[in-house]
Amino acid sequence: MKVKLWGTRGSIPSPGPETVRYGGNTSCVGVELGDGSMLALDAGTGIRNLGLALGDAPSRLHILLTHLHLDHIQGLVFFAPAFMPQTELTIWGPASPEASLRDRISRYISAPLSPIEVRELPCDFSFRHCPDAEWEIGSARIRCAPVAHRGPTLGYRIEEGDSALTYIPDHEPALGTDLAALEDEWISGFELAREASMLIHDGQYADAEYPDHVGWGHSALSHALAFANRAGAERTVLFHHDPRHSDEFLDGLGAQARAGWAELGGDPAAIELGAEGAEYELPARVSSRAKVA
Amino acid sequence: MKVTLPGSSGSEAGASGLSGEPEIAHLRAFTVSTVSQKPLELILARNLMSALSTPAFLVDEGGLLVFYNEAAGFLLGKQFEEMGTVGPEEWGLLFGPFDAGGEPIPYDELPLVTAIRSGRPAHAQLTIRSTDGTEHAVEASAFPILTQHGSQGAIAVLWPSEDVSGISANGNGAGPA
Repeated sequence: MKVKLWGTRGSIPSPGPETVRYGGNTSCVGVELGDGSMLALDAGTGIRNLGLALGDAPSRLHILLTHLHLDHIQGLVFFAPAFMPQTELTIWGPASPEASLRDRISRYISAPLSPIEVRELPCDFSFRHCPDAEWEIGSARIRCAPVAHRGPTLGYRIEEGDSALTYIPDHEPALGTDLAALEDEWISGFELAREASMLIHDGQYADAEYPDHVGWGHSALSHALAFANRAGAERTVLFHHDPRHSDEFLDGLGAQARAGWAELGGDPAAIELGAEGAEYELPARVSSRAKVA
Repeated sequence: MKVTLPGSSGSEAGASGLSGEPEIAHLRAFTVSTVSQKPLELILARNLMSALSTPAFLVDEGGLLVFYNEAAGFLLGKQFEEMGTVGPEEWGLLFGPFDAGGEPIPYDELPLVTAIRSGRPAHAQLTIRSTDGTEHAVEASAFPILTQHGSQGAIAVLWPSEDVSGISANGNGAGPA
């Protein structure tokens, strides 16, 4: 399983000279499975470059949306494969009692916010509510679960062979609680992240910033570390960077993350801040790793 | 690339349960794994209840008492961390509840059970006995936790019958045990 970060920013695109290393595009992660199947996790502005990289080749693509906040869907109307008739595009996302996934996305892909309507997309597209139980796409097994954020929001676990990628970009598992005091089963997103080969997780706020953002649906650094530690993730990529955070600030946050991870007994090299363009290949695990500390 | 959705064994899985979205042609069934994760709605309910000074109880969809908060712990004389998850029979033996005549209220008539089974709110006056034998007359209001996946459980909040104004912010809203 090959993983590439196409957009690591949260909330709003934040291009500029201060964000060139970690990137300014909003959430999108490309996943290439062993059988060649292609997944895009979220469709923030990062998906535009993913689409350009795919070129003109006929393709089947699956976009797995965690939720429909704008920073996770804004790139849809700039995703080049959606404008190619030969593309077979399936968009997965959370169900809502309010309206279908298609109808909710159509509020964005319609006038006056968009020059085109969903029905005008020339590709072969479909919208799917994610099932409650595990399903398969290509050579991967996919599982999702609701997680603590504002509005219906999913996290995903993608397993192929012995590797597992967990993607929970918007997550506030410590809202109103102390993660250290909870049993595993009472921690939002825990089963998705349990002993994942790689956990891509919300790390939007420095600890000092969190008190002013309680309930906004995102994690402080220490919460992200505590969650990853409890889950026993082998490698953690902190994601959904706050748009105010410059490269310099994020360098410092990364240093804090490595120090914090070491304090928990982990390998500092196993945690990092996601940078746009970063690529990973998940190896098959030999055995389950015991969680640190 | 194939797409496989869960469904009944050996049969083609349709799009049922997916709110009428168009079907993908190449679907088939496979074994579904199970996880022990609590539903998010229960997790969030527990987090909220933990911050309340009003005694509150949380049961899952099967009627199992899976959490009560610190204020409820003061009322009962035993905190949840000491008690752990308990079934309705054990709960009844330990704390009642009792009616005005001192008789145990049948499980089926408890507001929490009514809320789970009927999917409707329920309210009752009852008496709870704490571990030191002190009895507390309370009013219990229960409501179901209904989600797009159906009922996930219910919450009950207790209020002292004798003096509603006695609810305080000190974590012991129903009076000393």
